[in-house]
Amino acid sequence: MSVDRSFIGAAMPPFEVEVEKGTIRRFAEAIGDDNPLYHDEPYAQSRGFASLVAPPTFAASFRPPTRQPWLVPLDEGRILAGEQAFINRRRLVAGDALRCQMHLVDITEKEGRSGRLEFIIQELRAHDGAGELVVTNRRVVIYRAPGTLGA
Amino acid sequence: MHMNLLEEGEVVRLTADPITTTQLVKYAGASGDFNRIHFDEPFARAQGLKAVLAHGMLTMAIVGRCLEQAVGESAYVEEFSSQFLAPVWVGDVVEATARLAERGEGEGVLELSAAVEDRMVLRGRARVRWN
Repeated sequence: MSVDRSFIGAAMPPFEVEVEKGTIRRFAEAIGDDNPLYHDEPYAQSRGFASLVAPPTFAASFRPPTRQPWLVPLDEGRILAGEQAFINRRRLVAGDALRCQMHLVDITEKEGRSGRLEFIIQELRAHDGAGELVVTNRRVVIYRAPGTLGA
Repeated sequence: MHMNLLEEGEVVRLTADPITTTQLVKYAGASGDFNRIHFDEPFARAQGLKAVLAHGMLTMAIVGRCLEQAVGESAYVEEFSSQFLAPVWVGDVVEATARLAERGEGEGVLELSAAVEDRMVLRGRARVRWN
């Protein structure tokens, strides 16, 4: 089963994300980051931020409420992270209300050492209440052929 | 650590604690990535993997910690990108490095990497700005 090319250019329905203090703290704890900007609100405010600041990869947690339709038919054990980029216009802080939308930008493929690899290029674009694009989370997902990797 | 102290070509290193399954479960919950290859060992093995695999984004987050230490909290990360080169397994100790590659007026470019022993697992780049 390979990835359905007819999804190229597709976008999922927009969804809302509220950046919250508790989710910032739990994310920072999971990545082992004790930076007080992510844990201590008075400290973050003393540094000029409205509230807790989100770590640089926090937007990885902005996920559509349903799985991307182009990923649904795939075998989840063969899905791997390939490349990831965050393009930011400003730092995210607790209290931000974002409107996010997941886009399928392209699908490419190449022959790997032990079989065919497909590259699914997705962008999650997050806009704030003023309509400004604040973060783009560009992710290339690799779909490996059965039996590749594993060492 | 503040940027003013970092010279062009200077390297900052961070060694993370060994990756545990508990950490992967926490990261799954915090990020919403519940792919079972990251916490369910029988499932991971059935997929042909030798063990439970860390989320690539967790490795990137560890590199992000190193990046923050290198540039200081007054820096704003405009762009942060990574390529995932090799798997990171439970028990692995990730060592991240950030090297200031270019420094301009109020901005800089850093080259980033992560390795487990002599295995390179991530290569990345960041563009930062200081206000």
